[in-house]
Amino acid sequence: MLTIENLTVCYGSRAVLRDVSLCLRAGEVLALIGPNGAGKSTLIRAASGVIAPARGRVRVENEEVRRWTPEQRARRIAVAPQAVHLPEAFTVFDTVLMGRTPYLGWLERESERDREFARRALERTCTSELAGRRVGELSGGEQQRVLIARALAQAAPVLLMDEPTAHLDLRHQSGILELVRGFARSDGLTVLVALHDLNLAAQFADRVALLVEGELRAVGAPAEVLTPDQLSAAYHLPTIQVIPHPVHGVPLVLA
Amino acid sequence: MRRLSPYLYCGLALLLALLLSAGIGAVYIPPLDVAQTLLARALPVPLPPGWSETWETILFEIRLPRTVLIALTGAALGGSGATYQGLFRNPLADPYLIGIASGAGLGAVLAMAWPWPVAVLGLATIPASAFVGALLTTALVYNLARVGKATPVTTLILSGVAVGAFATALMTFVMLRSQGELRRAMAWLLGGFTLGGWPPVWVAAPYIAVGLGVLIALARPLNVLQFGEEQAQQMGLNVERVKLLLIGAASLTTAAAVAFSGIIGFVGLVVPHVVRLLWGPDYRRLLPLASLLGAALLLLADTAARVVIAPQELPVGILTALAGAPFFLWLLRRARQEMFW
Repeated sequence: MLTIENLTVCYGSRAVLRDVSLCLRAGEVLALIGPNGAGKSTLIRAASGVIAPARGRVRVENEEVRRWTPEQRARRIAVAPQAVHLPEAFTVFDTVLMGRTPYLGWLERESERDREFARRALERTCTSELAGRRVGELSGGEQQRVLIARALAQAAPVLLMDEPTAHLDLRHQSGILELVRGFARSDGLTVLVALHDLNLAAQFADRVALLVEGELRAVGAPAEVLTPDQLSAAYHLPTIQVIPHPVHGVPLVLA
Repeated sequence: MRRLSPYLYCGLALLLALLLSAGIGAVYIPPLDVAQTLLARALPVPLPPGWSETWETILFEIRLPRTVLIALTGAALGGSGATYQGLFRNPLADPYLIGIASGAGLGAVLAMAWPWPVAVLGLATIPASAFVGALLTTALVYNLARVGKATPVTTLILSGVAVGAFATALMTFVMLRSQGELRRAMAWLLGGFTLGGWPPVWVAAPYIAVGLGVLIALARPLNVLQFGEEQAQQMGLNVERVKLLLIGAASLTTAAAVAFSGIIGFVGLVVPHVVRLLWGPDYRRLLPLASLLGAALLLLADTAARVVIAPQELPVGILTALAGAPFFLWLLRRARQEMFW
């Protein structure tokens, strides 16, 4: 569904991503992990098509995303960014309705169908009762749900998320990821999510990709990637241990 | 305030301001008589009792052209101010702060400094030259502010201030060196409506109508732009193209306003804020409302400017600054306590 081929991205003369290749199936949640500055956000941005790679390409349904117009791209790839610096005064409903942008001409008004898409997205993210509130009045967890709703309204088969659980408390962290994994299962949504928290990645992702200094070190099931050796090397922290999670059985990383 | 249509409020405010502006002056004509006379032109309504030839001349040859020009200017300033604030996602952005008004002013002064451009090419030379000035300034500021492919707000404002100061200096130099009467030029600069009669109205109206029309038509993309350029692009907006169109239309509108009304500050800054506070941030409402309210407020300011030191006139720019600056500071203080952006 989403294919990243030999992607190299440079900021100026510095290569931030080097020769990264990843292939995501429909309905799969792939968590991107790695230390700060490893290039996770850059990979998300490049996958969304807003930055031009120095080499390599990103394809969705076998078409290269950089060849598409922004409208065409947004119909296939939706991005739920971190809930920071949002325009605070728009209502939740208006914000979600703006997810319909790729389907509307500049001079066109939203149709009843677009509104229906927005209402449905609110329902599915359990934010219907917030519809009339201003985005600035919401908690971080609620804002993140609204951004996911906006992405759902885009009705794209691929969803990219950059640290959606940053600044959220424990309950909201798993709530958000639970929600997104549900959409992957039920709608066949392809999800690439950058995560800071290794244990959340272990619990909610089908596969995990470990990115270190712009290079992909390991891709695979959580148990294959989240090993003491690989993590100790990646995070320069020799004391990392991994035990089985007492409830879920997935790897539990202790630093 | 939210129950009744905001358009009704702003429309009524504009109507009231129009009648006051047309009625009040050295010769007082009751605003209701003004309304009745205007109606009599279109409908089978009798002229008000006691209506005289003198009033007729004063109203149609002196007052109304100025009233309409001021309304157009106010609408242009309100609409383009709101657009710049949205475009650069900065509540402080305004045609003056980012140097565009100064660029337009320089263009207008260059067209006015010598008698021949207007004499040979007609009155439209002034807004055309102002438009060129505004566009060149915008292009210059935009390119100076550009870092890589982005246009950060900070560099934009800073280069706007620098370019604006440069243009203002050039404009002052040209004005001092030109043969014309300096006082008149200064009065124009501060927002005195010194050119009389209908011709400036006919020249400015199409520019402002087209500019505001384009801005209002692009209100929904402007809403999407509020999420920042990268998010807007990821939401499916062709950001570069929308920005170009918005900048072009806002420059056109600003240029036409500056060309005949000089540099009037704070209307483009304060009016959109008031509308945002009362009726929310949706540009589909904000742009038309800011235009209506901008027209109404500038008319009231100009009427006051004609009255306070009568029989002398105060340049309206002085009045808008005196009233606008404290109001804006109050807004700033308020913004620290509660978000409105």
